[in-house]
Amino acid sequence: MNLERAAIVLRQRSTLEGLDLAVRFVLSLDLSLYVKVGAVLLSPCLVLCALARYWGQWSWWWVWLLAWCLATLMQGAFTVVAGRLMFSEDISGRTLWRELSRKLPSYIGALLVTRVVLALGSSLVLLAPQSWARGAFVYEAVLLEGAGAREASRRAARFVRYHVGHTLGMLVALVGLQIGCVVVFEYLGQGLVEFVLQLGKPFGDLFDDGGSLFALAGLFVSVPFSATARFLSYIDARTRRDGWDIQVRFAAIDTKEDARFA
Amino acid sequence: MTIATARALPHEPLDTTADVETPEHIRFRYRVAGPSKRAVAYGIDTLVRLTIAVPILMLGALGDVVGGEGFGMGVLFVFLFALEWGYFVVLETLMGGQSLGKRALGLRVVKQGGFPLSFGDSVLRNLLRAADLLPGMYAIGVVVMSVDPYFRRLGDMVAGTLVVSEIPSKVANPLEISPPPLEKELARIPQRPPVSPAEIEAIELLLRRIGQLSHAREEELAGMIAPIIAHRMRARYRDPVRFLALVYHRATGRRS
Repeated sequence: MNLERAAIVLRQRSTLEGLDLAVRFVLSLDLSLYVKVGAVLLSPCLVLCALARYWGQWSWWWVWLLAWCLATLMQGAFTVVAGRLMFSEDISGRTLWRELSRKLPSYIGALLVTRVVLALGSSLVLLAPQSWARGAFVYEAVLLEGAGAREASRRAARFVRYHVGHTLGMLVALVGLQIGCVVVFEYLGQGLVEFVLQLGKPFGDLFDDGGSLFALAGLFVSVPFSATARFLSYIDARTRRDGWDIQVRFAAIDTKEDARFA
Repeated sequence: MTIATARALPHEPLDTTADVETPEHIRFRYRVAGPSKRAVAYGIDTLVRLTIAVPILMLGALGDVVGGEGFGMGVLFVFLFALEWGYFVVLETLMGGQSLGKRALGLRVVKQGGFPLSFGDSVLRNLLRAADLLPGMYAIGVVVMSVDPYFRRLGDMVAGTLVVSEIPSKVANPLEISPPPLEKELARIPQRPPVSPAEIEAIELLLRRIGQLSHAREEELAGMIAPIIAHRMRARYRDPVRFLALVYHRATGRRS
């Protein structure tokens, strides 16, 4: 990867600053790409959840569980998109699918391994935060570093070994982001349908029924943002650990020197 | 499906900063606060207002007993109205563009030209809160803020204000070179090494991170510019990190 072509300024950032940057990354770097990938991957997820609720008569608890599993899985695609955009690499739909399908078994395996570790850790309450943090960067380990399922979960755990507190802060912020998107979409959707169009609440109500189509849409809309925010947190950790900010400064000096002699 | 691939690299990498040009054509670069930082600050402010409101609520109930039915609640609602609409205006005016939540997160409201916030600006931006709040939980405000390049909500746009993130201005401790440079080592470095201020700054960035990076990585990074500087000075070195430390020591005029 060419750090000099990085799409963001490489410097150390706080978690909240990373979240704000993720918003800017998604909305201003290549929004059309995010929209297209979202339309192809996230719309079917929303339809599936709606079918489960309205056709399958699932309770909202099960629908949320399904939505959460799908949202977790779909984060992978947006991690790859963010990784490619970060270093200005061109990405086409075909290469994205090829890359994802090649890594899909390892990716699903790594997600399962980290979730099992999280479940085991949660059974011993005290270990739950540690187990949660260990799996935080498993997406990057599999999809960007190309590790296999077990190696990725080991690598992700090693990556956060000395930064568990910081990683937990980031994970809590990501949950906050997802909840925020759910609530904002609920209010926007209900505001439009109930107050502007005066159609009542045909799609359910998050606060009365436990869920609605708008809230589900909010969860899926949060996926690109949370995947990008997590990826930027990974970049921040690499910047701190590997001195990427220093490398960029030194490379600029080197380039300037070359230009002087050219 | 084919996804458009062409993305012209923006001329400048992304950051949470915004450039502001004053009427005198002086350019400032601010770190602007986005939705997440502002949401946390707002959360703190809400807690503060609740802390004020709860005892008043109790007093309101007591007022009903003393002043007759509805009296206490009437006073209470007037107070809550004043708290809701006055909290931000009063604090932002008195505390130089900060509320308690903003101060906790190092945020400040300023005019777009970098001027301090006036009472009128504060009133205007906080009046528009009613629009940002719609249809609930600041839904409109969050969406508008997310798409605006300056992370402004409607109230900020109308009042011409920005919420900036203050960079804590700490005076950095002088850099200690360990082990201290020896006269013999310094003899190989000119009194005024041919390095620019930007290069000194970059070297300092590396030297301040010694110990946080792995030794191999420190050497790798130092190896990127040590040969360039050595070539300019016709000097030779064995350890690039040490060499850069000596150059920095000479260039900044430090004495061991």
